[in-house]
Amino acid sequence: MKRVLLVEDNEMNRDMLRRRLERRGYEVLLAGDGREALQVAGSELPDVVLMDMSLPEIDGWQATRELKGDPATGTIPVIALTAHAMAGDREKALAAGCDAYETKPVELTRLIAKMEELTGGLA
Amino acid sequence: MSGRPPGASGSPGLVPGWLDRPRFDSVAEECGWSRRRLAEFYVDGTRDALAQMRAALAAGSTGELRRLAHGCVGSSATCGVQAMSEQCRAIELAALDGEPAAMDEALDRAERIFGQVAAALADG
Repeated sequence: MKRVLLVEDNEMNRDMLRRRLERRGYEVLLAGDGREALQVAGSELPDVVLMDMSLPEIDGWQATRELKGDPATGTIPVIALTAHAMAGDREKALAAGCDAYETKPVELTRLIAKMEELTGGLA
Repeated sequence: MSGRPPGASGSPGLVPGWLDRPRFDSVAEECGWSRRRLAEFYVDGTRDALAQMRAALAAGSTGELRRLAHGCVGSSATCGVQAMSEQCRAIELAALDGEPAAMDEALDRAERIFGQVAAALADG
């Protein structure tokens, strides 16, 4: 079973996406801000990170830069999630080190396809 | 899933297209919930979020208001509740501008729309 770290500060969004992913066979680890994401990623080494970019404490851009800069977590694929497509967000996410970019609301099938592409196979 | 779609009997006061029913149904199914369960989850969570926004505005915490509104944009869009997603985006933009009267007005409007949305979803 693949392990996904879902980084999302909004409880409703987090609960819904967690349920949707668990029902598709993923183990979902949770973090509510960028600082917690760094801690969980470092200790649990998930297969992929789904990173909301608008986060308290350390935002998603900074958390991704730190994850990618750490040899222990630098190879974990990060998919950026944002609530609305702002001009330049995609480029900004890729510049921060994100491997892919998805806008909310999440289309589950498309997100899972992207996750599998980045992690090399089905869960 | 069973029962009528939320809002099936009409939604006075809400603009056509306020709810993206295919998206609502799809998310309910993906969550393993009935329509009723998702409606309750959405209404309870959004009611709390609006109360927190009102408290943030009263406290002058514009950043917190913006963060809460941003979350509500996403959760409403996920559930297909377009009317609330759009109005919460208006709150987010008002908070970015930092004009208290505009924030208050946008939040007032969101609270009114939410009352209609909650009634319509309960009607399902």
